[in-house]
Amino acid sequence: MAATVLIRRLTGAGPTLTDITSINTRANAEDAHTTAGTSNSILVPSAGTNYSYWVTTRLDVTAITAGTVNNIKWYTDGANNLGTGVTMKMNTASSYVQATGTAGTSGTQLTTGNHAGLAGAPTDAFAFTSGSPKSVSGTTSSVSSTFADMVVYQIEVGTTAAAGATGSETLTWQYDDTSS
Amino acid sequence: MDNLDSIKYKRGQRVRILVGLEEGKIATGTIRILNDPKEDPGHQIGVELDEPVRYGHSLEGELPREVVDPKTHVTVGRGWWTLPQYIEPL
Repeated sequence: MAATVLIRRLTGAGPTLTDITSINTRANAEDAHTTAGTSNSILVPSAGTNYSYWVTTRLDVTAITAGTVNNIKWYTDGANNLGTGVTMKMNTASSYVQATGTAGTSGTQLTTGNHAGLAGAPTDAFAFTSGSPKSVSGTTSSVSSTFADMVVYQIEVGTTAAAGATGSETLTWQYDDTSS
Repeated sequence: MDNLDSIKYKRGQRVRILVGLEEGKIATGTIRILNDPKEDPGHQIGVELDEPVRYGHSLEGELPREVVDPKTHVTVGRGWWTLPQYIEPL
């Protein structure tokens, strides 16, 4: 039987691991998972850029028999339809850093200075597609939620962004599974 | 993406968007913008749709500004970014 692999969103100081496999999760100006919450949306700035709180996700193997999960990839559909003036940047991270900011206004910008575990400066998430995915380090042959790097992403909102809910984007994890 | 894929399209060309719209919707429109995928990978082909769609936008100001539906608070516009592999010529 194939391994059971979940996508988790990490929030809070703990952190709390929430199963977001195949569901929506909002990137708002708050450190929380919701599927449709709007209470702490990102404020459209009058100058400069506002940010979502960064979103931390990782894979979690909850069942596996005689095999390995590895060759992990992450990608988008390649087209940014979050709306005018809205972008998304990402990178992998080897350790968890809780997202911070001013709730209801803006998150702290995702940089290597603000996130000690980040592999490097975040780049345009839409550069990573099924044909050119982001590689994520990690491998496991046992049940584990910490066998691979995390993917951390953040929404950037410029002055030209419209008010209201943006479009959604599908973010895909891919991996090899040799379990029996 | 293969750069050659976008070369076969031109501004003003009519296309059908097959992938990416909400709920699997298929729409038609006209190509307004062709960007270098290396410089702006998320904004490669900008299409002005024939009809406005939920979450449509202005193609970064190329089209009239999107509006916000007062009931749903969702933006509505006629702009849509896409990739060569998600469209077909009409």
